[in-house]
Amino acid sequence: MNGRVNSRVVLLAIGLMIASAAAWQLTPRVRRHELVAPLASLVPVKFAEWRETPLASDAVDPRAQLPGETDREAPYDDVLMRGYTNPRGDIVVLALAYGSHQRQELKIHRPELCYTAQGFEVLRRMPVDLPLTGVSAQPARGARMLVRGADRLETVSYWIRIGDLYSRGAWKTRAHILAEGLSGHVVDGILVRVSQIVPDAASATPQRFALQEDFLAQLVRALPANARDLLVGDAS
Amino acid sequence: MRGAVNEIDYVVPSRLSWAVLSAALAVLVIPSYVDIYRVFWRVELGAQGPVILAVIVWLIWRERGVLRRFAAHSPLLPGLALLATGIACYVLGRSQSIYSLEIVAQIPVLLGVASLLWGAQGVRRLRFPLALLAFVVPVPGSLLDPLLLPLKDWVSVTVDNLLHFLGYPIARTGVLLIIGSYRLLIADACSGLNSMVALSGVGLLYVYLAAHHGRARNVALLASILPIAFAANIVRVLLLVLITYYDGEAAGRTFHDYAGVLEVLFAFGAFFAFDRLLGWFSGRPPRPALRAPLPAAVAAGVAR
Repeated sequence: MNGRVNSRVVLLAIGLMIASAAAWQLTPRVRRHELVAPLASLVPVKFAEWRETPLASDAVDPRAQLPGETDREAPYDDVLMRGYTNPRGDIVVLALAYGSHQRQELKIHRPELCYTAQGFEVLRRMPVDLPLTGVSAQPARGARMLVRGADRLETVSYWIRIGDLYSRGAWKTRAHILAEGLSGHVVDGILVRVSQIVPDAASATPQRFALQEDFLAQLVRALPANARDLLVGDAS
Repeated sequence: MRGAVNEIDYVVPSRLSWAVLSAALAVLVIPSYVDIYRVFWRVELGAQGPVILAVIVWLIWRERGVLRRFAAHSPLLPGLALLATGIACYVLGRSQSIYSLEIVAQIPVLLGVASLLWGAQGVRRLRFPLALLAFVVPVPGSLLDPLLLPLKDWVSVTVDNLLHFLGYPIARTGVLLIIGSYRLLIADACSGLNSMVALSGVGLLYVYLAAHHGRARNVALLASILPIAFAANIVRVLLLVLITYYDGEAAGRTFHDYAGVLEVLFAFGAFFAFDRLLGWFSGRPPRPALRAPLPAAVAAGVAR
Protein backbone atom coordinates (compact mmCIF):
# COMPACT_ATOMS: atom_id res chain seq x y z
CA MET A 1 0.00 0.00 0.00
CA ASN A 2 1.72 3.19 -1.13
CA GLY A 3 0.61 6.81 -1.30
CA ARG A 4 -0.21 6.92 -5.00
CA VAL A 5 -3.74 7.69 -6.06
CA ASN A 6 -5.26 5.10 -8.34
CA SER A 7 -5.51 6.49 -11.88
CA ARG A 8 -9.18 5.55 -12.27
CA VAL A 9 -9.93 7.36 -9.04
CA VAL A 10 -8.22 10.46 -10.43
CA LEU A 11 -10.33 10.18 -13.58
CA LEU A 12 -13.50 9.82 -11.53
CA ALA A 13 -12.66 12.69 -9.23
CA ILE A 14 -12.10 14.98 -12.19
CA GLY A 15 -15.37 13.88 -13.82
CA LEU A 16 -17.39 14.36 -10.67
CA MET A 17 -15.82 17.78 -9.98
CA ILE A 18 -16.70 18.89 -13.50
CA ALA A 19 -20.28 17.73 -12.91
CA SER A 20 -20.59 19.79 -9.72
CA ALA A 21 -19.07 22.85 -11.35
CA ALA A 22 -21.27 22.55 -14.44
CA ALA A 23 -24.41 22.24 -12.35
CA TRP A 24 -23.43 25.32 -10.39
CA GLN A 25 -22.56 27.24 -13.55
CA LEU A 26 -25.90 26.40 -15.23
CA THR A 27 -28.05 27.36 -12.26
CA PRO A 28 -30.30 30.23 -13.40
CA ARG A 29 -29.72 33.55 -11.64
CA VAL A 30 -31.13 36.40 -13.81
CA ARG A 31 -34.40 37.86 -12.54
CA ARG A 32 -36.80 39.69 -14.84
CA HIS A 33 -39.20 41.20 -12.35
CA GLU A 34 -38.69 42.45 -8.88
CA LEU A 35 -41.11 42.97 -6.06
CA VAL A 36 -40.21 46.61 -5.39
CA ALA A 37 -42.56 47.03 -2.44
CA PRO A 38 -44.96 44.84 -0.49
CA LEU A 39 -48.07 43.96 -2.48
CA ALA A 40 -50.18 45.59 0.23
CA SER A 41 -48.68 48.97 -0.60
CA LEU A 42 -48.52 48.45 -4.38
CA VAL A 43 -52.19 47.63 -4.68
CA PRO A 44 -54.46 50.64 -4.04
CA VAL A 45 -57.19 50.35 -1.41
CA LYS A 46 -59.48 52.40 -3.66
CA PHE A 47 -59.83 52.25 -7.43
CA ALA A 48 -62.65 52.71 -9.94
CA GLU A 49 -65.82 52.09 -7.97
CA TRP A 50 -64.19 49.68 -5.52
CA ARG A 51 -62.93 50.38 -2.01
CA GLU A 52 -61.48 48.21 0.72
CA THR A 53 -63.79 46.44 3.14
CA PRO A 54 -62.85 44.26 6.14
CA LEU A 55 -62.17 40.70 5.18
CA ALA A 56 -64.07 37.74 6.53
CA SER A 57 -61.56 35.77 8.60
CA ASP A 58 -62.28 32.46 6.94
CA ALA A 59 -61.40 33.47 3.38
CA VAL A 60 -59.31 30.77 1.73
CA ASP A 61 -55.65 31.72 1.98
CA PRO A 62 -53.75 30.90 -1.23
CA ARG A 63 -50.82 29.94 0.99
CA ALA A 64 -52.92 27.10 2.36
CA GLN A 65 -50.25 24.55 2.90
CA LEU A 66 -50.64 21.58 0.74
CA PRO A 67 -50.21 18.57 2.96
CA GLY A 68 -46.64 17.95 3.96
CA GLU A 69 -45.38 21.40 3.14
CA THR A 70 -43.62 23.72 5.51
CA ASP A 71 -43.73 27.49 5.54
CA ARG A 72 -40.11 27.89 4.62
CA GLU A 73 -40.43 25.96 1.43
CA ALA A 74 -43.72 27.45 0.38
CA PRO A 75 -43.28 29.15 -2.98
CA TYR A 76 -44.35 32.67 -1.94
CA ASP A 77 -42.52 35.86 -1.16
CA ASP A 78 -45.61 37.95 -0.55
CA VAL A 79 -49.31 37.37 -0.29
CA LEU A 80 -52.10 39.92 -0.21
CA MET A 81 -55.69 39.19 0.66
CA ARG A 82 -58.13 42.05 0.72
CA GLY A 83 -61.87 42.51 0.55
CA TYR A 84 -63.40 45.15 -1.73
CA THR A 85 -66.93 46.44 -2.07
CA ASN A 86 -68.71 48.63 -4.63
CA PRO A 87 -71.62 51.07 -4.17
CA ARG A 88 -74.13 48.37 -5.10
CA GLY A 89 -73.00 46.28 -2.16
CA ASP A 90 -71.14 43.55 -4.06
CA ILE A 91 -68.29 42.15 -2.02
CA VAL A 92 -65.32 40.45 -3.62
CA VAL A 93 -62.13 39.04 -2.12
CA LEU A 94 -58.86 39.66 -3.93
CA ALA A 95 -55.98 37.26 -3.37
CA LEU A 96 -52.52 37.83 -4.83
CA ALA A 97 -49.70 35.40 -4.18
CA TYR A 98 -46.28 36.22 -5.60
CA GLY A 99 -43.26 33.95 -5.73
CA SER A 100 -39.98 35.21 -7.16
CA HIS A 101 -38.56 31.75 -7.79
CA GLN A 102 -40.75 29.10 -9.38
CA ARG A 103 -39.25 25.65 -9.47
CA GLN A 104 -40.39 22.33 -10.83
CA GLU A 105 -41.57 21.07 -7.48
CA LEU A 106 -42.24 24.38 -5.77
CA LYS A 107 -44.75 26.30 -7.80
CA ILE A 108 -47.66 28.59 -7.10
CA HIS A 109 -50.51 26.41 -5.91
CA ARG A 110 -53.43 26.18 -8.25
CA PRO A 111 -56.61 27.38 -6.50
CA GLU A 112 -58.36 24.10 -7.24
CA LEU A 113 -55.71 22.40 -5.05
CA CYS A 114 -55.76 25.15 -2.41
CA TYR A 115 -59.49 25.04 -2.00
CA THR A 116 -59.51 21.25 -2.00
CA ALA A 117 -56.75 21.21 0.62
CA GLN A 118 -59.02 23.28 2.85
CA GLY A 119 -61.95 20.95 2.48
CA PHE A 120 -63.76 22.57 -0.41
CA GLU A 121 -65.12 20.61 -3.28
CA VAL A 122 -64.72 21.97 -6.79
CA LEU A 123 -68.19 21.66 -8.35
CA ARG A 124 -67.43 23.28 -11.69
CA ARG A 125 -64.28 24.45 -13.34
CA MET A 126 -63.79 25.81 -16.83
CA PRO A 127 -61.01 27.65 -18.60
CA VAL A 128 -61.79 31.23 -19.52
CA ASP A 129 -60.05 34.18 -21.17
CA LEU A 130 -60.22 37.24 -18.95
CA PRO A 131 -60.18 40.44 -21.02
CA LEU A 132 -57.69 43.07 -19.87
CA THR A 133 -59.25 46.01 -21.69
CA GLY A 134 -57.06 49.08 -21.66
CA VAL A 135 -53.97 47.18 -20.58
CA SER A 136 -53.28 44.52 -23.12
CA ALA A 137 -54.87 43.22 -26.30
CA GLN A 138 -54.06 39.77 -24.94
CA PRO A 139 -56.60 38.38 -22.51
CA ALA A 140 -55.32 36.69 -19.38
CA ARG A 141 -55.85 32.98 -19.70
CA GLY A 142 -57.37 31.66 -16.51
CA ALA A 143 -60.29 29.72 -15.15
CA ARG A 144 -63.64 30.00 -13.38
CA MET A 145 -64.66 27.73 -10.56
CA LEU A 146 -67.66 27.10 -8.39
CA VAL A 147 -66.59 25.56 -5.08
CA ARG A 148 -68.54 24.25 -2.11
CA GLY A 149 -67.24 24.31 1.43
CA ALA A 150 -68.75 23.08 4.67
CA ASP A 151 -70.68 26.32 5.15
CA ARG A 152 -70.74 28.19 1.84
CA LEU A 153 -70.43 28.32 -1.93
CA GLU A 154 -67.93 30.54 -3.71
CA THR A 155 -67.43 31.67 -7.28
CA VAL A 156 -63.76 32.00 -8.10
CA SER A 157 -61.98 33.51 -11.12
CA TYR A 158 -58.21 33.43 -11.41
CA TRP A 159 -55.18 33.38 -13.56
CA ILE A 160 -51.68 32.23 -12.81
CA ARG A 161 -48.74 33.88 -14.53
CA ILE A 162 -45.53 31.90 -14.48
CA GLY A 163 -42.76 33.75 -16.29
CA ASP A 164 -44.19 34.68 -19.67
CA LEU A 165 -46.90 32.06 -19.54
CA TYR A 166 -50.46 32.06 -18.33
CA SER A 167 -50.26 28.70 -16.68
CA ARG A 168 -53.13 26.32 -17.26
CA GLY A 169 -51.46 22.96 -17.08
CA ALA A 170 -48.61 21.40 -15.21
CA TRP A 171 -46.73 20.15 -18.26
CA LYS A 172 -46.57 23.42 -20.17
CA THR A 173 -45.60 25.19 -16.97
CA ARG A 174 -42.82 22.74 -16.28
CA ALA A 175 -41.55 23.05 -19.84
CA HIS A 176 -41.58 26.85 -19.60
CA ILE A 177 -39.69 26.87 -16.30
CA LEU A 178 -37.15 24.47 -17.79
CA ALA A 179 -36.65 26.46 -21.01
CA GLU A 180 -36.26 29.74 -19.13
CA GLY A 181 -33.99 28.14 -16.58
CA LEU A 182 -31.68 26.73 -19.22
CA SER A 183 -31.30 30.21 -20.67
CA GLY A 184 -30.31 31.46 -17.23
CA HIS A 185 -33.56 33.07 -16.13
CA VAL A 186 -35.17 32.64 -12.75
CA VAL A 187 -38.90 32.40 -13.42
CA ASP A 188 -41.27 34.26 -11.13
CA GLY A 189 -44.98 33.67 -10.75
CA ILE A 190 -48.16 35.10 -9.36
CA LEU A 191 -51.66 33.93 -8.62
CA VAL A 192 -54.32 36.57 -9.25
CA ARG A 193 -57.59 35.39 -7.78
CA VAL A 194 -60.95 36.96 -7.02
CA SER A 195 -63.88 35.29 -5.30
CA GLN A 196 -67.37 35.97 -4.00
CA ILE A 197 -69.62 34.10 -1.62
CA VAL A 198 -72.84 33.04 -3.36
CA PRO A 199 -76.04 31.79 -1.72
CA ASP A 200 -76.63 28.87 -4.07
CA ALA A 201 -75.35 27.23 -7.24
CA ALA A 202 -77.98 28.99 -9.34
CA SER A 203 -76.41 32.34 -8.41
CA ALA A 204 -73.16 31.40 -10.13
CA THR A 205 -74.27 33.14 -13.30
CA PRO A 206 -72.04 34.42 -16.10
CA GLN A 207 -72.92 37.94 -14.91
CA ARG A 208 -71.54 37.24 -11.48
CA PHE A 209 -68.31 35.88 -12.93
CA ALA A 210 -68.16 38.87 -15.31
CA LEU A 211 -68.49 41.24 -12.35
CA GLN A 212 -65.55 39.78 -10.52
CA GLU A 213 -63.47 39.53 -13.68
CA ASP A 214 -64.22 43.15 -14.47
CA PHE A 215 -62.93 43.92 -10.98
CA LEU A 216 -59.61 42.30 -11.92
CA ALA A 217 -59.36 44.25 -15.20
CA GLN A 218 -60.02 47.52 -13.37
CA LEU A 219 -57.45 46.58 -10.75
CA VAL A 220 -54.76 45.92 -13.35
CA ARG A 221 -55.54 49.26 -15.05
CA ALA A 222 -55.26 51.09 -11.73
CA LEU A 223 -51.86 49.65 -10.85
CA PRO A 224 -48.56 51.48 -11.30
CA ALA A 225 -46.47 50.02 -14.14
CA ASN A 226 -44.04 48.10 -11.90
CA ALA A 227 -46.90 46.35 -10.13
CA ARG A 228 -48.85 45.75 -13.33
CA ASP A 229 -45.81 43.90 -14.66
CA LEU A 230 -45.99 41.53 -11.73
CA LEU A 231 -49.61 40.65 -12.44
CA VAL A 232 -49.53 40.27 -16.20
CA GLY A 233 -45.84 40.48 -17.14
CA ASP A 234 -45.35 39.84 -20.84
CA ALA A 235 -47.47 36.80 -20.56
CA SER A 236 -49.39 35.31 -23.43
CA MET B 1 -12.50 -20.81 -12.20
CA ARG B 2 -13.28 -17.53 -10.49
CA GLY B 3 -10.82 -18.10 -7.68
CA ALA B 4 -7.89 -18.66 -10.02
CA VAL B 5 -8.26 -15.31 -11.74
CA ASN B 6 -8.91 -13.30 -8.60
CA GLU B 7 -5.45 -14.00 -7.17
CA ILE B 8 -3.66 -11.61 -9.47
CA ASP B 9 -6.37 -9.41 -10.99
CA TYR B 10 -6.92 -6.84 -8.34
CA VAL B 11 -5.27 -3.77 -6.89
CA VAL B 12 -5.43 -2.66 -3.30
CA PRO B 13 -6.04 1.09 -3.45
CA SER B 14 -4.10 3.38 -1.16
CA ARG B 15 -5.71 5.31 1.67
CA LEU B 16 -5.27 8.44 -0.37
CA SER B 17 -7.25 6.89 -3.24
CA TRP B 18 -10.13 6.21 -0.88
CA ALA B 19 -9.94 9.73 0.48
CA VAL B 20 -10.00 11.31 -2.98
CA LEU B 21 -12.87 9.08 -4.12
CA SER B 22 -14.93 9.75 -0.99
CA ALA B 23 -14.36 13.49 -1.23
CA ALA B 24 -15.39 13.63 -4.90
CA LEU B 25 -18.55 11.60 -4.24
CA ALA B 26 -19.37 13.71 -1.19
CA VAL B 27 -19.08 16.94 -3.16
CA LEU B 28 -21.47 15.49 -5.72
CA VAL B 29 -24.16 13.97 -3.54
CA ILE B 30 -24.19 15.87 -0.24
CA PRO B 31 -25.65 19.12 -1.65
CA SER B 32 -28.39 17.04 -3.30
CA TYR B 33 -29.34 15.37 -0.05
CA VAL B 34 -29.31 18.67 1.81
CA ASP B 35 -31.90 19.95 -0.69
CA ILE B 36 -33.92 16.76 -0.58
CA TYR B 37 -33.93 16.95 3.19
CA ARG B 38 -35.17 20.54 3.15
CA VAL B 39 -37.81 20.01 0.51
CA PHE B 40 -39.12 16.51 1.16
CA TRP B 41 -37.72 14.62 4.12
CA ARG B 42 -38.19 17.23 6.78
CA VAL B 43 -41.86 17.01 6.11
CA GLU B 44 -44.23 14.14 5.91
CA LEU B 45 -44.17 14.25 2.12
CA GLY B 46 -41.25 11.88 1.88
CA ALA B 47 -40.62 10.52 5.33
CA GLN B 48 -39.89 7.04 3.97
CA GLY B 49 -36.95 8.40 1.94
CA PRO B 50 -34.33 8.40 4.71
CA VAL B 51 -35.30 4.89 5.75
CA ILE B 52 -34.70 3.65 2.23
CA LEU B 53 -31.43 5.58 1.97
CA ALA B 54 -30.22 4.01 5.21
CA VAL B 55 -31.07 0.58 3.83
CA ILE B 56 -29.15 1.35 0.64
CA VAL B 57 -26.08 2.36 2.66
CA TRP B 58 -26.38 -0.84 4.65
CA LEU B 59 -26.72 -3.00 1.52
CA ILE B 60 -23.59 -1.41 0.05
CA TRP B 61 -21.75 -1.78 3.35
CA ARG B 62 -22.48 -5.52 3.25
CA GLU B 63 -20.48 -5.72 0.04
CA ARG B 64 -17.42 -4.10 1.60
CA GLY B 65 -15.40 -7.32 1.46
CA VAL B 66 -15.54 -7.31 -2.30
CA LEU B 67 -15.31 -3.56 -2.71
CA ARG B 68 -12.07 -3.33 -0.73
CA ARG B 69 -10.01 -4.22 -3.81
CA PHE B 70 -10.31 -2.63 -7.22
CA ALA B 71 -10.38 -4.76 -10.34
CA ALA B 72 -7.13 -4.41 -12.23
CA HIS B 73 -8.30 -4.62 -15.81
CA SER B 74 -11.93 -3.64 -15.95
CA PRO B 75 -12.92 -2.18 -19.33
CA LEU B 76 -13.05 1.58 -19.54
CA LEU B 77 -15.87 2.15 -22.00
CA PRO B 78 -19.04 0.89 -20.23
CA GLY B 79 -18.07 2.73 -17.07
CA LEU B 80 -17.39 5.97 -18.91
CA ALA B 81 -20.69 5.72 -20.81
CA LEU B 82 -22.65 5.24 -17.57
CA LEU B 83 -20.74 8.02 -15.89
CA ALA B 84 -21.30 10.47 -18.77
CA THR B 85 -25.04 9.71 -18.92
CA GLY B 86 -25.35 10.10 -15.18
CA ILE B 87 -23.39 13.34 -15.11
CA ALA B 88 -25.53 14.85 -17.89
CA CYS B 89 -28.73 14.00 -15.98
CA TYR B 90 -27.24 15.25 -12.74
CA VAL B 91 -26.19 18.59 -14.23
CA LEU B 92 -29.63 19.15 -15.75
CA GLY B 93 -31.49 18.02 -12.65
CA ARG B 94 -29.38 19.89 -10.14
CA SER B 95 -29.11 23.18 -12.04
CA GLN B 96 -32.85 23.27 -12.86
CA SER B 97 -34.05 22.00 -9.45
CA ILE B 98 -35.58 18.83 -10.90
CA TYR B 99 -35.02 16.88 -7.72
CA SER B 100 -36.13 13.49 -8.98
CA LEU B 101 -33.78 13.64 -11.95
CA GLU B 102 -30.96 14.83 -9.73
CA ILE B 103 -31.28 11.87 -7.39
CA VAL B 104 -32.05 9.25 -10.02
CA ALA B 105 -28.95 10.46 -11.90
CA GLN B 106 -26.91 9.04 -9.04
CA ILE B 107 -27.81 5.55 -10.25
CA PRO B 108 -25.85 5.73 -13.54
CA VAL B 109 -23.13 7.87 -11.92
CA LEU B 110 -22.51 5.32 -9.18
CA LEU B 111 -22.88 2.36 -11.53
CA GLY B 112 -20.23 4.06 -13.67
CA VAL B 113 -17.99 4.37 -10.62
CA ALA B 114 -18.62 0.70 -9.82
CA SER B 115 -17.83 -0.35 -13.36
CA LEU B 116 -14.62 1.65 -13.55
CA LEU B 117 -13.28 0.53 -10.17
CA TRP B 118 -14.68 -2.94 -9.65
CA GLY B 119 -15.63 -4.02 -13.15
CA ALA B 120 -18.63 -6.08 -14.12
CA GLN B 121 -18.62 -7.87 -10.78
CA GLY B 122 -18.96 -4.56 -8.96
CA VAL B 123 -21.89 -3.55 -11.14
CA ARG B 124 -23.61 -6.86 -10.39
CA ARG B 125 -23.08 -6.44 -6.67
CA LEU B 126 -24.27 -2.86 -6.51
CA ARG B 127 -27.01 -2.64 -9.11
CA PHE B 128 -29.84 -3.59 -6.81
CA PRO B 129 -28.91 -1.31 -3.89
CA LEU B 130 -28.32 1.55 -6.33
CA ALA B 131 -31.62 0.96 -8.16
CA LEU B 132 -33.38 1.55 -4.84
CA LEU B 133 -32.24 5.18 -5.09
CA ALA B 134 -35.22 5.65 -7.42
CA PHE B 135 -37.46 5.30 -4.35
CA VAL B 136 -35.73 7.90 -2.25
CA VAL B 137 -37.54 10.95 -3.66
CA PRO B 138 -41.27 11.29 -4.25
CA VAL B 139 -42.24 11.18 -7.91
CA PRO B 140 -43.18 14.66 -9.22
CA GLY B 141 -46.86 15.32 -8.66
CA SER B 142 -48.07 15.79 -12.20
CA LEU B 143 -46.53 12.51 -13.35
CA LEU B 144 -48.49 10.26 -11.08
CA ASP B 145 -51.61 12.28 -10.34
CA PRO B 146 -53.79 10.71 -13.05
CA LEU B 147 -52.90 7.26 -11.77
CA LEU B 148 -53.12 7.98 -8.10
CA LEU B 149 -56.08 10.32 -7.78
CA PRO B 150 -58.68 7.52 -7.95
CA LEU B 151 -56.66 5.65 -5.35
CA LYS B 152 -56.84 8.62 -3.04
CA ASP B 153 -60.62 8.49 -3.18
CA TRP B 154 -60.63 4.77 -2.50
CA VAL B 155 -58.56 5.29 0.62
CA SER B 156 -60.95 7.78 2.19
CA VAL B 157 -64.04 5.90 0.97
CA THR B 158 -62.73 2.64 2.46
CA VAL B 159 -61.89 4.26 5.78
CA ASP B 160 -65.28 5.98 5.84
CA ASN B 161 -67.19 2.76 5.12
CA LEU B 162 -65.17 0.66 7.50
CA LEU B 163 -65.58 3.00 10.46
CA HIS B 164 -69.21 3.57 9.62
CA PHE B 165 -69.74 -0.18 9.62
CA LEU B 166 -68.07 -0.41 13.02
CA GLY B 167 -70.52 2.16 14.34
CA TYR B 168 -68.33 5.25 14.58
CA PRO B 169 -69.94 8.67 14.02
CA ILE B 170 -68.17 9.38 10.75
CA ALA B 171 -69.12 11.35 7.66
CA ARG B 172 -67.26 12.34 4.53
CA THR B 173 -67.54 15.17 2.02
CA GLY B 174 -64.90 15.02 -0.67
CA VAL B 175 -61.55 14.78 1.08
CA LEU B 176 -62.94 15.96 4.40
CA LEU B 177 -63.58 13.29 7.03
CA ILE B 178 -65.68 14.31 10.02
CA ILE B 179 -65.47 12.04 13.05
CA GLY B 180 -67.19 13.06 16.26
CA SER B 181 -66.38 16.72 16.66
CA TYR B 182 -63.16 16.55 14.62
CA ARG B 183 -62.60 17.43 10.99
CA LEU B 184 -59.74 15.77 9.17
CA LEU B 185 -58.51 16.61 5.71
CA ILE B 186 -57.41 13.51 3.92
CA ALA B 187 -55.42 15.15 1.17
CA ASP B 188 -52.54 13.87 -0.95
CA ALA B 189 -49.86 13.19 1.57
CA CYS B 190 -52.25 11.99 4.23
CA SER B 191 -53.62 9.30 2.05
CA GLY B 192 -49.95 8.68 1.51
CA LEU B 193 -49.92 8.46 -2.23
CA ASN B 194 -46.33 9.51 -2.32
CA SER B 195 -45.62 6.69 0.02
CA MET B 196 -46.97 4.20 -2.53
CA VAL B 197 -43.70 4.69 -4.37
CA ALA B 198 -41.53 4.33 -1.29
CA LEU B 199 -43.47 1.29 -0.14
CA SER B 200 -42.99 -0.32 -3.54
CA GLY B 201 -39.28 0.12 -2.88
CA VAL B 202 -39.71 -1.64 0.45
CA GLY B 203 -41.45 -4.50 -1.36
CA LEU B 204 -38.63 -4.90 -3.87
CA LEU B 205 -36.16 -4.81 -1.01
CA TYR B 206 -38.01 -7.61 0.73
CA VAL B 207 -38.02 -9.78 -2.37
CA TYR B 208 -34.29 -9.14 -2.76
CA LEU B 209 -33.43 -9.96 0.82
CA ALA B 210 -35.64 -13.03 0.96
CA ALA B 211 -33.80 -14.30 -2.13
CA HIS B 212 -36.13 -17.20 -2.78
CA HIS B 213 -35.24 -19.69 -5.47
CA GLY B 214 -38.79 -20.48 -6.51
CA ARG B 215 -39.92 -18.26 -9.34
CA ALA B 216 -43.61 -18.54 -8.43
CA ARG B 217 -42.99 -17.34 -4.92
CA ASN B 218 -41.05 -14.30 -6.12
CA VAL B 219 -43.75 -13.45 -8.63
CA ALA B 220 -46.43 -13.75 -5.95
CA LEU B 221 -44.40 -11.51 -3.66
CA LEU B 222 -43.91 -8.93 -6.41
CA ALA B 223 -47.63 -8.99 -7.20
CA SER B 224 -48.42 -8.32 -3.55
CA ILE B 225 -46.43 -5.07 -3.49
CA LEU B 226 -49.16 -2.69 -4.65
CA PRO B 227 -52.01 -4.23 -2.62
CA ILE B 228 -49.85 -4.17 0.50
CA ALA B 229 -48.81 -0.56 -0.13
CA PHE B 230 -52.48 0.33 -0.52
CA ALA B 231 -53.39 -1.53 2.67
CA ALA B 232 -50.58 0.27 4.49
CA ASN B 233 -52.16 3.56 3.42
CA ILE B 234 -55.57 2.53 4.69
CA VAL B 235 -54.12 1.46 8.03
CA ARG B 236 -52.33 4.78 8.32
CA VAL B 237 -55.43 6.88 7.69
CA LEU B 238 -57.53 4.59 9.87
CA LEU B 239 -55.13 4.97 12.79
CA LEU B 240 -54.91 8.71 12.25
CA VAL B 241 -58.70 9.02 12.39
CA LEU B 242 -59.07 6.75 15.42
CA ILE B 243 -56.25 8.36 17.40
CA THR B 244 -57.76 11.77 16.72
CA TYR B 245 -61.17 10.49 17.78
CA TYR B 246 -59.99 9.00 21.06
CA ASP B 247 -57.05 11.20 22.05
CA GLY B 248 -57.70 14.52 20.33
CA GLU B 249 -56.08 16.50 17.56
CA ALA B 250 -52.68 16.92 19.22
CA ALA B 251 -52.23 13.16 19.49
CA GLY B 252 -53.34 12.85 15.87
CA ARG B 253 -50.69 15.32 14.76
CA THR B 254 -47.97 13.50 16.70
CA PHE B 255 -48.98 10.25 15.05
CA HIS B 256 -48.98 11.98 11.69
CA ASP B 257 -45.33 12.86 12.15
CA TYR B 258 -44.26 9.27 12.65
CA ALA B 259 -46.79 7.69 10.32
CA GLY B 260 -44.30 7.41 7.46
CA VAL B 261 -41.88 5.25 9.42
CA LEU B 262 -44.68 3.16 10.91
CA GLU B 263 -46.04 2.59 7.44
CA VAL B 264 -42.71 1.18 6.27
CA LEU B 265 -42.63 -1.15 9.27
CA PHE B 266 -46.21 -2.24 8.64
CA ALA B 267 -45.46 -2.94 4.99
CA PHE B 268 -42.34 -4.93 5.84
CA GLY B 269 -44.30 -6.93 8.38
CA ALA B 270 -47.05 -7.57 5.85
CA PHE B 271 -44.55 -8.80 3.26
CA PHE B 272 -43.00 -11.07 5.86
CA ALA B 273 -46.38 -12.47 6.87
CA PHE B 274 -47.47 -12.98 3.27
CA ASP B 275 -44.16 -14.67 2.49
CA ARG B 276 -44.63 -17.04 5.42
CA LEU B 277 -48.11 -17.80 4.19
CA LEU B 278 -46.76 -18.60 0.73
CA GLY B 279 -44.12 -20.83 2.28
CA TRP B 280 -46.77 -22.62 4.31
CA PHE B 281 -48.87 -23.24 1.19
CA SER B 282 -45.93 -24.45 -0.82
CA GLY B 283 -45.39 -26.98 1.94
CA ARG B 284 -41.72 -26.22 2.45
CA PRO B 285 -40.35 -24.67 5.63
CA PRO B 286 -39.88 -20.99 4.87
CA ARG B 287 -36.39 -19.61 4.86
CA PRO B 288 -36.29 -16.91 7.50
CA ALA B 289 -35.89 -13.78 5.48
CA LEU B 290 -33.27 -11.81 7.32
CA ARG B 291 -31.36 -14.61 8.95
CA ALA B 292 -30.26 -16.28 5.73
CA PRO B 293 -26.48 -16.28 5.22
CA LEU B 294 -26.84 -13.06 3.32
CA PRO B 295 -23.88 -12.77 0.97
CA ALA B 296 -24.45 -16.32 -0.17
CA ALA B 297 -28.17 -15.76 -0.58
CA VAL B 298 -27.55 -12.55 -2.49
CA ALA B 299 -24.97 -14.12 -4.72
CA ALA B 300 -27.42 -16.91 -5.46
CA GLY B 301 -30.10 -14.36 -6.22
CA VAL B 302 -27.76 -12.45 -8.52
CA ALA B 303 -26.56 -15.53 -10.31
CA ARG B 304 -30.10 -16.55 -11.17
